[in-house]
Amino acid sequence: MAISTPAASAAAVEVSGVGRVFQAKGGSVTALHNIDLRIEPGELFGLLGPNGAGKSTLIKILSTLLLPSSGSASIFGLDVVRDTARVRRIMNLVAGGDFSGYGLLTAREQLAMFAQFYGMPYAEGMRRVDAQIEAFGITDIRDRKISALSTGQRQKLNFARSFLNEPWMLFLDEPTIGLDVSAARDVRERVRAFQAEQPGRTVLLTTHYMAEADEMCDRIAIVDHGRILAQGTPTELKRMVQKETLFIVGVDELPAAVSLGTLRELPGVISVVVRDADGADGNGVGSPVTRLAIALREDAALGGVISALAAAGAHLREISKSEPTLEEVFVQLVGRGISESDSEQAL
Amino acid sequence: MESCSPVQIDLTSRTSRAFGPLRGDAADAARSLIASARLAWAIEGNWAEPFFLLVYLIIRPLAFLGLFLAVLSIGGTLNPASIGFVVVGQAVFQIVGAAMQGPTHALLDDRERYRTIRYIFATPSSLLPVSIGRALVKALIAAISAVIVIGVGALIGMPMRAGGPDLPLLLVVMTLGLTSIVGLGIALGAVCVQLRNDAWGYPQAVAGSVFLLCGAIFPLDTLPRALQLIGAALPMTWWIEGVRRALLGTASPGLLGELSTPLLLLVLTVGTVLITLAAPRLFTIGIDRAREKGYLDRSTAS
Amino acid sequence: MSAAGVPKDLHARIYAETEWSLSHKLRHAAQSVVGRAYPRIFGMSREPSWLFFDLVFPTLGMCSFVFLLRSRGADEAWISATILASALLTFWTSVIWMMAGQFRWERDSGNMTLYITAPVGLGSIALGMAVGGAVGMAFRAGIIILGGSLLFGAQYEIREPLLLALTMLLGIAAMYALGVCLAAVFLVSGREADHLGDLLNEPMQLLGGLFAPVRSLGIFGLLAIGILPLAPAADAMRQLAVPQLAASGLLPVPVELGILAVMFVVFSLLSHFSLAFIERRGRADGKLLTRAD
Ligand SMILES: Nc1ncnc2c1ncn2[C@@H]1O[C@H](COP(=O)(O)OP(=O)(O)OP(=O)(O)O)[C@@H](O)[C@H]1O
Ligand SMILES: [Mg+2]
Repeated sequence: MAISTPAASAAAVEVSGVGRVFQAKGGSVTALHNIDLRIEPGELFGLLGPNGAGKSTLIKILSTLLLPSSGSASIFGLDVVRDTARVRRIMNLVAGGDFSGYGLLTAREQLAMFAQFYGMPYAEGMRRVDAQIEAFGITDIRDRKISALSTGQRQKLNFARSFLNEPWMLFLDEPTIGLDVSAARDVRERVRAFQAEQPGRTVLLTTHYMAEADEMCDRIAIVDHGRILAQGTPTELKRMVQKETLFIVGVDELPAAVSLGTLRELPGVISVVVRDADGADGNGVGSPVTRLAIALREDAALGGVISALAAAGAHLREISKSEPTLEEVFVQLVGRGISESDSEQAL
Repeated sequence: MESCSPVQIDLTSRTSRAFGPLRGDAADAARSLIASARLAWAIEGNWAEPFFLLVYLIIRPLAFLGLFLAVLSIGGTLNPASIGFVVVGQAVFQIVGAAMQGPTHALLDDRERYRTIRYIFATPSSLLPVSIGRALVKALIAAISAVIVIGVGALIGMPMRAGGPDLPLLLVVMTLGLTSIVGLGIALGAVCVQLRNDAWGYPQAVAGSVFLLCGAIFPLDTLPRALQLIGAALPMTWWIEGVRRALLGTASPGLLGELSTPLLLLVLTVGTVLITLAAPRLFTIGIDRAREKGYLDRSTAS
Repeated sequence: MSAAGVPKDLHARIYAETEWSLSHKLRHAAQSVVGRAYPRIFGMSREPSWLFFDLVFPTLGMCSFVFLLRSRGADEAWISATILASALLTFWTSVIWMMAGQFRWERDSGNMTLYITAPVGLGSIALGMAVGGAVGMAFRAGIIILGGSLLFGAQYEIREPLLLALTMLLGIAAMYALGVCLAAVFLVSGREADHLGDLLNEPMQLLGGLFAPVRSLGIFGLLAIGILPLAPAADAMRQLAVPQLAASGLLPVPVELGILAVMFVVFSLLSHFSLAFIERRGRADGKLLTRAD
């Protein structure tokens, strides 16, 4: 069979020109427009976007659940439409809010059942089942029926299941939805450990949690209305909304010897404004602080500003670098906050 | 989530207020019941679907009838009296079976399919009107097929009462019978919601056993003594007998036939009152237990 | 950073991993069938209520036919036949509720998504469902036959046990194969499927000649024996186990056995195609296989 030579593409995920149109009652819905995306082996790549952006649609196409209407996509060089059987041997999937499995089985039996579906010999399957139970710290619920598990326990089980076939490509569609802080932290750690165990394991994650995306993802694509609006590392994305670097410098009070004008004249300085005169200090006690917001072309220009202030006799109280959040990037690109769009569907 | 969830929300907002079983303001209770029946109608009454009409109003009831007549004919040629006996029992039992399924299916639908039960119906008091509504609507739909069965029965030789059906008797018996069956249906729903996924089939199974005991297709006298007693304790037994007298104009052969009609009505009334008092309490206990054990949001197929 | 430590020949290695030998594929298919059958064989009996519902109620249904027969003074041999029919009915009921309706449930619970994305064929899943269902039901059917026969003092006279075993085996196999086709039909037909399930229940008991022989149905009986596995299975079983009623058979046993064998093959092929169809259609329309959320 003429299968695309596996080494031809070095990407883990290669999406080119993928579009997807759904036929719905009121006409057709275009969930994805001509998407191009490339994910490198070993990356943890995030898709961030409001409800209905097309994230799940893309994951479904990549995980062979859905055919693209146009374009092509491959996982480690295997075409998701033509080489379906092969793709399924190297991938796995976890979706949030999942009720999968059979309520009357115990947690361990459920994992054992899935191990049979993933193609490893029985003994090896059972070894991995027990290893995952151990790794997720769910030994205590091992022999409890699925129907008696909490959402968090079920989702850990679901993650354990997805690791059973040691997939090269793992798709996570809002996997931490409904999990409490500590359970979410646990599974995030497991995902990282899973990737670290074997270089090349690649993860594609969708999430609504900005902090999760920021913290976990090597790179992120922001998606809305079926289009990728921007992609890059979290730092790169933040750079997009704020080209200059911003420092907040707090002094006792602005010495008469320096005016904002003189500071603005310094090399590398773009602007200086007083953010709050006589603000409370960090602890809410002590004498008031005057904070200057100083925009610089580059970090190095800060030295000049500090010396100028010091030379004029200002007493320095605090210096901090102000980073834009992913949320701000999102709002700027999508035109609305992710939590706003979330609350629309809350019920 | 299919079409019904918005309706449900609308419903609870109205019902969750005060409709405690047997308590609360009667007008409020009635309003809840009407809202629930409307909801049930929306869910159950796929009236626009010809396939639905065909299956539930015609094919299934007639298949049942055919099945019993076929078995009946194994024991020799059919005579009009035995055709009449089976046709009426069968027709009334359409209603019994359907009403018994209504509440269970309402609860399981929510639990297994829409998974809304834990969000929306957090209290037994809001589940109760929905269950009653589903039972009533199912019973009413089934009543149409009962009429069809009687019609077909008349065509194939069922003897009718001279001078037409005894309508007052029919009305009284049907009202009492429907009330008691809805009560039994909701009690059954509260039991079934504690069970596995294939609890879908359980009300039907219970209906099947009631069918055996209430003299629907063969006289009670055929049963062993102990079962006869249980049969006599079921309101459905008296209901069916009452309908037979109203439609056929003759009492059944055997024990039941010897009772006078007023006595029959008295027994049916007492049974109905007892069930109407007990069922909502049973329902509340069942739902409370299910909620306590977390059965309302589990799904248990294998 | 992403490229750190990623071997150069990664793609080639992964490609090699996707290369499964024939024996690997066979072992995997066998394991998958057992894996899917497991929850049915072991899970199903875990709720103590199964005893009550899976045994007591079918028995009650059987009793109403027995009493109906007795009320008419029918030959006691018909009671033996009724007990056998009730056992067969357990399988048919499980075909309706646990096969035909199952894929919809698997879809709504999210299992279907996992099956499709796993390297397991829907065929193995369906076969596992069938094997698990049949084994679970065989146990129940056995108890029903035993209990019913003791309760009513039913007698059987089995002259050809092998033929009887073959009839039951083929009948059950054909029913479950049909069940897989129905699973696909139910999945595609959406909400109408509920009605379909009910259509398959009592009307098919009548058409299948379970409690009254198909012979009495005239032309419909002949039709039923040609398309509904219940019909030849029930008819042949009655002839084989209750020889006094041999005259009630519509066709000679070997012919009915042949029909069952053909049905098994045809329904197996049909289920193969219908599974392929639902997977293709599901991936194309995006609704059939994944939970609407
Ligand atoms: N099977 C389908 N039929 C019709 N329309 C669909 C179907 N699946 C998805 N859509 C539509 O495609 C668009 C993208 O949906 P998708 O599920 O990919 O969004 P998402 O980014 O995952 O959103 P969410 O954050 O809510 O999960 C939406 O407008 C959705 O309504
Ligand atoms: Mg999504």
